[in-house]
Amino acid sequence: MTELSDELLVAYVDGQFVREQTRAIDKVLGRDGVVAARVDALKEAHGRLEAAFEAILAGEVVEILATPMLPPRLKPQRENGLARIGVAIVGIGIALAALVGGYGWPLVMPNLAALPQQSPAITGSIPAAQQH
Amino acid sequence: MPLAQALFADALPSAAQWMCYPSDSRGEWPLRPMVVEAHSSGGGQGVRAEILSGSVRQEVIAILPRLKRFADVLAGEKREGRALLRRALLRMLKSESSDRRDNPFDRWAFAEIYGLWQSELRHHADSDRETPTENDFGELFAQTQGAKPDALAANFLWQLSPQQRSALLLVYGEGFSHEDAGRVLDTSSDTIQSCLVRTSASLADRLSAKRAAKVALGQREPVNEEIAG
Repeated sequence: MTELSDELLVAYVDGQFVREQTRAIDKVLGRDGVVAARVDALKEAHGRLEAAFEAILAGEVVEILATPMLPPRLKPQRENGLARIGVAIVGIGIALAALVGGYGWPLVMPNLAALPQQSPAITGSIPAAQQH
Repeated sequence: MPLAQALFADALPSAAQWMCYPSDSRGEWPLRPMVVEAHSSGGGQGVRAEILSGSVRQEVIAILPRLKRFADVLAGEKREGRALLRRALLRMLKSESSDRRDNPFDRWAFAEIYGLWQSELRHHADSDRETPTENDFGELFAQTQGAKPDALAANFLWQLSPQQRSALLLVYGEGFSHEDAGRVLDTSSDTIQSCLVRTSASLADRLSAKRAAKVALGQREPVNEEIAG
């Protein structure tokens, strides 16, 4: 019987060896049934652990899928350029209508010189008939 | 309470994000990760599909089932695993920019979960936290289409320490190298290697013993039949 440690055989089963080392162990397995049986057991252990972790992952996904879902909530689409242009045109139209309707500020500034001059209020001593 | 709410209730008070893989008629699975939003307000118990943007959240969502598995395996049960993952995700979302650096996201995320678990273990060494039972651990396995989980493997994993289970998961479940597994679990690759050898050898011993027992039983049965005949 050939003495091969579990450390060596686990590394072999996990595929950590280069080709030459793998071939050397393959040769031993071909002529030593005890080592071959041990490798088979390690391979089975490896396979069962992988399958167990896969089953746990599947359980997580099943749990997620069991969560009830509502239909997607509709969001205003930011990328819709036509809608944005339409809103802008309507806005400009309202602004123009306001201008035409006489609410032209700030485009039309008041002509201060054209305003009627108010005579200063005089309170006092000379009667209006005597001022001329 | 829906799972998404349970996971993210603290992180996002009014809405929780979750990930789901929609089924595909062509049989390709997973098709495309889709974020769904679970609303906790308004009495509605449901989730709403919605594609989200944002680097960290998207990355978390993309590997969420794997993160959940890691947390569950580490904690040994669903309830504790879910709570651990929720706390770890909150920490991840806060510390992403400063701690992540150039690490691959999955390795960084696993390390964050493990680091938090270890830190909490240190600070609550005298707490009366219950050890998960074998039934609790068995609930982690999917039971679909009548297929029973591998009882021997489940029992074996349950009996291991959380660190040993996590090392096995990272190498055999996630396909990490020993070096990467060591980085996640804050230990050397040699420690990971020796852990794998010990645990694999131990499970192999069990399997061999079971096989030998079967053979012995098979040899005895004809004798019994002879006696009966």
